[in-house]
Amino acid sequence: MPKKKKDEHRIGVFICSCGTNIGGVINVRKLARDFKDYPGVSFTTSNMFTCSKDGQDKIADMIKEKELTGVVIGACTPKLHEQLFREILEENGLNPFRLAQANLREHDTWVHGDNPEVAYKVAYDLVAGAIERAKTLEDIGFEEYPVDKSVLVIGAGIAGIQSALDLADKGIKVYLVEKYTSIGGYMARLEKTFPTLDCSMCILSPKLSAVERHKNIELLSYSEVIETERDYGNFKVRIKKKPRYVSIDDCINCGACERNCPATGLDEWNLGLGERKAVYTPFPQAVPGVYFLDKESCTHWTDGCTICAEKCPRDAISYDVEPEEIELKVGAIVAATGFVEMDIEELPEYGGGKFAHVLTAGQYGRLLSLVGPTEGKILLPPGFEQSPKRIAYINCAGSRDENHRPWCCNFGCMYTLRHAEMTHRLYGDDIDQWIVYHELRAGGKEYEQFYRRVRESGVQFVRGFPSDMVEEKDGSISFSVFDQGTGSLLRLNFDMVVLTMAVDPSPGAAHLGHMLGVDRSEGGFMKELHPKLEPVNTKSRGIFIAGACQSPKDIPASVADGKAAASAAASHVLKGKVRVQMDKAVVDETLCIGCGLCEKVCPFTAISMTLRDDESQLAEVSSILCTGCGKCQVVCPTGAIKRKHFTTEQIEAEVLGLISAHRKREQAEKTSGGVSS
Amino acid sequence: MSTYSVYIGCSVPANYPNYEASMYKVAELFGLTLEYLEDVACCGSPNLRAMDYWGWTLVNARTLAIADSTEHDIVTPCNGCFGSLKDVYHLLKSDTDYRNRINAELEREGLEFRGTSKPRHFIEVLYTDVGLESIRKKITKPFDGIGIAIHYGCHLLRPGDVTEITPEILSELVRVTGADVVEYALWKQCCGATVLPVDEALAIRLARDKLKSMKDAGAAFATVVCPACCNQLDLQQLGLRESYGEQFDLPILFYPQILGLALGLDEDEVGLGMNRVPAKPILQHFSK
Amino acid sequence: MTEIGEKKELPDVFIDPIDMSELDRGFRKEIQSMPNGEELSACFACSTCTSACPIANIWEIKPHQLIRMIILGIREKVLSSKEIWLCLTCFECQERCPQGVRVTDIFFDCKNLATEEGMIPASIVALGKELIEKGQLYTVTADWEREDLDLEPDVPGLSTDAVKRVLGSTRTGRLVKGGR
Repeated sequence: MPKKKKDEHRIGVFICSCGTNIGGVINVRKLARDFKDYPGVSFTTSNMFTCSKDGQDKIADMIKEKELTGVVIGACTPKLHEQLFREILEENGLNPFRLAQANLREHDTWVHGDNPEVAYKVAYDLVAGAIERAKTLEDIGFEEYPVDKSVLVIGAGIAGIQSALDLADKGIKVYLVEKYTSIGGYMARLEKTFPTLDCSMCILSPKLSAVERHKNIELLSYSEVIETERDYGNFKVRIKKKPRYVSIDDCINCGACERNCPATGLDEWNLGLGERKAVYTPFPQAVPGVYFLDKESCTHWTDGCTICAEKCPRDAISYDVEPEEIELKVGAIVAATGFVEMDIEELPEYGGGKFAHVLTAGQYGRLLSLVGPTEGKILLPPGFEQSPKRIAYINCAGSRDENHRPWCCNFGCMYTLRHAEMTHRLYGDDIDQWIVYHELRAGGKEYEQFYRRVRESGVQFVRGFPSDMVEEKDGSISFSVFDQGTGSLLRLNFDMVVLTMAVDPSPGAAHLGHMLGVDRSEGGFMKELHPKLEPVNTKSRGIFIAGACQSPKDIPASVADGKAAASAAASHVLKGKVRVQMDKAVVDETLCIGCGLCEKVCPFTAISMTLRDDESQLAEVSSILCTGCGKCQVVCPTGAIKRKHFTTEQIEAEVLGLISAHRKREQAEKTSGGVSS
Repeated sequence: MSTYSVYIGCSVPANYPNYEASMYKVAELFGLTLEYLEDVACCGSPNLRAMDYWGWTLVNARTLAIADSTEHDIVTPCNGCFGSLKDVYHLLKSDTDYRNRINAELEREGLEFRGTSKPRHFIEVLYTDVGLESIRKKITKPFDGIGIAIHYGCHLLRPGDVTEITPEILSELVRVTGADVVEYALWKQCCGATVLPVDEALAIRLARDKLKSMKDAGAAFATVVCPACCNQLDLQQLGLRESYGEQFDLPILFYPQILGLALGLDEDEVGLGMNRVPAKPILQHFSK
Repeated sequence: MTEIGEKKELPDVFIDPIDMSELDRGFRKEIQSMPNGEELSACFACSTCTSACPIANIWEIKPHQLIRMIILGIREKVLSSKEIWLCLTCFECQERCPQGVRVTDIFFDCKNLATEEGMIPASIVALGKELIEKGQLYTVTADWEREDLDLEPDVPGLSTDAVKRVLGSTRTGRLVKGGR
């Protein structure tokens, strides 16, 4: 592109007051005026809100009236309105990339709010830099790629299931991947749900069956995503199907294998409470509703046991099955990988992992389950013979604690109330129940009424945190707690202590987030594009998140999330194509010496080396893989590779504009005796 | 091996030369050179910190600055001194303004706090620099699994982000001698030394509860790594017997005494005769 | 019956709440500006400090109540409390605080402020006096014990002059002089 002559620049400068965010600190009208005679500027103004209709119209009118060649907006962070402003440029015949934004709010007035004089100087310099940048900006185009009408949903808890069902109902092909042998997630472990105490499986199992029967859903249970790759508008995904050793097609669910199996393993479905056979099905309504053999606990590979295969009337069991890898092409991905309880051993102050009668709330929930290890009876582990007479529930175990997990687990208060209420209904006054809490959070619909009901049922509430927890010789647990209500220090003794554990994202979330290009927030939860306005979108286009992988959520919120992610993913794939901005890395063939440094540093494998006609190497950029990070531009020894829209020249122009504005003012201050601009 | 600058404090040399001597002899066996820091001031204890924070940081910063000039880490056997030095070290490392103010004062004496010499407790040096394996190799007279209760002392363990010492350090060091660590309910509890000047009855009660908890759990001996804690647990036992008729007969040994015996030092070399509650019964518990 | 003209004094009964105007709103900032006081405002009143304190049961004002009083600005009551001087300085409260409030450290700050205002137990002043006069808290009395163990008879390396010199010019020095 030929360089414009200096006098050809016609830049419009629009300074936003942003209410009092910027205008309350600096004089925006003066700032606009001060740029009236700045070289290359043909128009300046200030408004109360540049993002408002008035502000937008002003930009549109001036582009046409003054035949602007570039637009500079001094306002908030480009993260908020850059897209809007670019659209206004485009609608009015100016290439959207002719926009340069100066972040006067986050980079200046929010920082220097207590020092308006400094803030003004910084604002002036930032705008000067943006104007110099605007002078170097070039037109950049778009490319369009087709998007497949299919979505991969990762994780089949309630959020993922809801997402899959909603997408499938819209006629979109859904692949639902679940790493465990059955779908259902945490909700399938629950006996009842708060605040209505309706049976969890009664409301969940219709959805499990719907997933199994929906013609648009392909269920990949006991499978894991091992690789994802962006492929123009789509994603190439490799999935590992782990061997179940029991054929889904042949098993008739008769249970002969399980009855005869001699080997056992720790029962992960019951969160480590008790054991199960090596071949088993986790719960009656499991989907797929067939048996499954856990290689880790099976003795076939160590001792050559073949009992289950022999007992199977359908020859459904075979030990010679290898993991299978399949590759899919999908237009979008919804991650719904859920949560886990924090490891109880991280809480030695509560006897975590050491005291047999200290359980996690998840484990206690399994005791309450009619299909759990005690068939719904509250019995003391590990023998499960006696019922406790006194139970303490300790809320915020590890949560809201700077030494452990600073965040609130969101649903712990409520499920503790649920446990107390269910236990009360089963045992009445035979079990004396105490809830040791600090702040009880019951903000959802009809949650507060449920809390009141539990108080009325006679459960003892003590406001405080426990200390000095010890295991007595009889296995009971004693601790001290200061009851804030009465102002007394109490020493309490319980047969069983249930910890309302802090919540972490599922262990695989970190790796998956990295593969998908999704950032993570505090604690490793997946990060949304915007905490309020884009809760299920991520910074990676075509990748959506739902449920507790984003932050701890209860069932209603997870379902809402699942639906929202389905809606967002559907509108992405149903458009049929994506428009990709070409502000990417480009190679100047005449300058490239084929050294390959750019290929080495590219974190997205977007650069590959090809051979020219004369056999010398040449770097080639895949514009779909390139994210525009600019690493290649930094290492290129000849300046052959450029990250368009952020070329070295453009960055230098901005920096030099900023510095020279600063220098000029300093000189002026010196000659005029230190008075500020 | 390495050389260390020793800050011995005032309580250890004045009241417990057996601690001082056993520390030196143990160090010698592992080839550690301990050099007394010269011209250093008393740490002032938490009581000075309570009434005169600035004065407390100043005297301790002065000690740290003198240690800086030796280019060796500063090692102390006393929890009180360790707590003071480590806390001030932590403060001056993290608070630049405070450090500048302190250094402006120290400049008059031609000193400067730079923080190159780290304050460390003697047991942590044993654990980290010598290491359990080297210690195990030199044990010639292991104990027969006798139950020893550990009183860590508050200022050894807490605040954890400042002291950077975990309970395992001392329990592992006890186990390596062949003794068994007796777990007891009040293991974290304070000995009461700090409140002795303001509430003697409370201090006595705390020491008594602690001793009772150890004894109830089956401890035959107890170990301490602080002279103030030793006052409370060893000396106080005599008072408890005379004034309140509570008799525990629980010998309290400084850790280097226990380790020294296991390393083959004789009872006089570790000053066993100076412990107030007779400690010689421990000599009956070497592994046969 | 009281005769006319002979009025009794009103009984000394305090039924009024603490008026907002009596709160010292600067106290919180004062503590926060002192060493290790920054995290004070993070307190969410869970009283874990009190549960963790081995002796809180004998305190009329509990550790968490002291922290709340600092935040609210009930300055006089905190600084004149006997509790701050009863603190074992065992750091159990601070270690367990889920919000990282340095409770024990803050009580040290309070004791310094109390000292500045003359509210310090005589036994602590006596210790200060000891330090200023002897330059150390403990002096060797049985040097034969040291000699038996081949140790130098005097406390090695300890400079009593340094303590006297340094503390003579700080609050300890002023305190001890004032006490004479």
